[in-house]
Amino acid sequence: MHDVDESALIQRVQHGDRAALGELLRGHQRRLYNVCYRMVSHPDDAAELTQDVLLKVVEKIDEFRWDAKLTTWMTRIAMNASISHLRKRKHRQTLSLNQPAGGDDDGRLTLAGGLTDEREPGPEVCVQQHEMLDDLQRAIAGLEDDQRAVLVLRDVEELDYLQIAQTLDLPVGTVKSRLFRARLALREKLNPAPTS
Amino acid sequence: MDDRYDPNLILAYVEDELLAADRARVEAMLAEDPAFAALVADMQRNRETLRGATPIEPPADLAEGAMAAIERQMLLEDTSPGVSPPPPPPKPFRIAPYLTYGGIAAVLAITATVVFQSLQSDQQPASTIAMSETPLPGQSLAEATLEAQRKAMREFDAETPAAEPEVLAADTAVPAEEALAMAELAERTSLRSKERDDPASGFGGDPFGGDPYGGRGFGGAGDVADAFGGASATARDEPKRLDAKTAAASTPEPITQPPALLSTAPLPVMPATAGENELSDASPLAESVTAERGGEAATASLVLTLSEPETPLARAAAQETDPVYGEKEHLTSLQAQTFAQVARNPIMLNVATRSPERSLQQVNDWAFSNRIQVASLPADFSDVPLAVPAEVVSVEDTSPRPALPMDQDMAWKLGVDEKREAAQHLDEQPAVQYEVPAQLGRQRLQLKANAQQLGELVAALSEPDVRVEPASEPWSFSPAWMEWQSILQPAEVEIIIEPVRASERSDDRPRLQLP
Repeated sequence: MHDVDESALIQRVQHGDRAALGELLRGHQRRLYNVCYRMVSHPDDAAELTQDVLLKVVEKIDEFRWDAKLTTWMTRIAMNASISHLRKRKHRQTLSLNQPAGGDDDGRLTLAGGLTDEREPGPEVCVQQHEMLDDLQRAIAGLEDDQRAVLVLRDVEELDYLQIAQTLDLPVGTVKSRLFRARLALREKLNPAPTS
Repeated sequence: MDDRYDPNLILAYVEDELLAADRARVEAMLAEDPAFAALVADMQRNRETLRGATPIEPPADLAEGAMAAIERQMLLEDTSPGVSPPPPPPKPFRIAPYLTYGGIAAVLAITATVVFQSLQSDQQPASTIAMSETPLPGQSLAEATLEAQRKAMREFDAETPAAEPEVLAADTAVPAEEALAMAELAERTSLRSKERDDPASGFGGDPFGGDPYGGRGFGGAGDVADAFGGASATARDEPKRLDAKTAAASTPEPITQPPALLSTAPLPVMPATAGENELSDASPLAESVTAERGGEAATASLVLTLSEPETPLARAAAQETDPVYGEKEHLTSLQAQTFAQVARNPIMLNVATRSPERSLQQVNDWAFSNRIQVASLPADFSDVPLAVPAEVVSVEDTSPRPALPMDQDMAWKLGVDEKREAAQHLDEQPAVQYEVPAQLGRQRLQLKANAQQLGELVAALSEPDVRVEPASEPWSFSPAWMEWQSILQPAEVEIIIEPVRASERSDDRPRLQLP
């Protein structure tokens, strides 16, 4: 969505245009849902968090002053909500390591479950990708919250360092260092070093 | 990772942000260290895996759900009572203000009680205390009350300025023509009385006006007596002697003093031409009676005096020196109270009317409109006959009045002599015979009313052919606070509706104005 369109859309929303509000929320709901899902690793919790994020966007839309991009502003709301949610369920690790692709019994989705390939790869390739994504999702879930947030924003949201810094209200250098440590930790989780 | 490698450089290489020269330098380093190269390769692979993952579709239209939730929340806020501001927290109970207010209220109540008691002690005169005392042994309450009234009248007389009686006399002076007419009437009456052998009569035997209660309840000296002494039943029980004295015809002398004052005034009392018994039986309230009795033909004016009481008790009381009399400090309080109030007698209201039915109806209407209960008292008192003219009753078979029970006095009054006497004078006043009996007899009512209500009653009763004269007005010469109290507090009022003859005008007799 272009900035010019977003500006007009936000003005309409601020004037009480319900259609504009619906258009705005629908345009960002999938991205926000993925951020929440990568952070909390649970589809229901992610959906609930996403709805809460949308409500907060509506409530705070009058306070938006264009000192940041609308995407960055919304992502920041989603990330804060996700981190708060993670802190609440700090001791609950709900990610199943042995669930089949596409979801398990309690509805959790794995990273591989959301992987779609329009070119319809062969069955072996799909299995390998699903296994890799499952391993990767488990490794991400095992990261610390601040490292996970930087990694998700960087790899899922594909934000640059400045946007990540604005979203997490961190210096850019901190973002880079956290990102490097997150990648190292992720690699350690996926390829643990031999105990010898 | 080896410390020899710069993390920022490695991260930039993983993120594919290095320039070609830097990138070549890093690749040279990786070629020298295979472990470090594997690490960087894993990081690049993980990054590409995450970025290559397709975004996950939300399970539902979260935007629509969010908007529905917003609308629901807005509706709840519109109708929810929580929108209204929360009620203020209850104030903590503090007992100090209540104690303060209670103390102030108690102090005020005590102060008011003390002031009220002091006023009560100040306003009660010595005479009142004397009157409220228990009667002496052998003295009835009526006698004690009458004695108290006499004391009060004397004190009032002593307090009245010397010039006041003259002014009063000038105001109440009877015209010479009326005095002469009254004297003639008195002469005729005395002649008839001489003819009538009535030694046992205790009422003076005037068939027309003979009413020991005060001469048909209104008019003349009787009114004055009522005004000053209160025409209470107790006062009536004590017969007073009223001597009607005549003065020289050439010099009509007005009524100079109220009878109460005359009782002690050293005015010359001329002997009456009528018998002593007859005069002694006359009520001092019956001005017309005394005027008729005292009848010298040349009477030009009427001087009324109260003679000494006849009963030993009354005589003794009159001769007794009143210690209160002459004490000026009691005069003010005495002046503040009328005799009716002092003796706790009712306020008398005498209504002389040719239509007692109408007056009675007017009283009842007034009482109904003012929600005042009216009690009907027996019109004939124990020792007093009805004020029905003897001539009228004596006319046999002419009275349309139904047969009324007659007491012994009435039966006695309707003796043969009376009939004969009435028959002799039948030609003098023939109209009376057919008029009065058709009317309602004397009505005696009792009620409670304040000054304003009593004034309204008088106004309601006042008609051209009705004369209403309050026998006493307790508040007429009372101080302001007493008047205020009298107006606010209802007093007992006794109304006597007296039928009069059609030939008798209601204003043909002299009136004495109250001071």
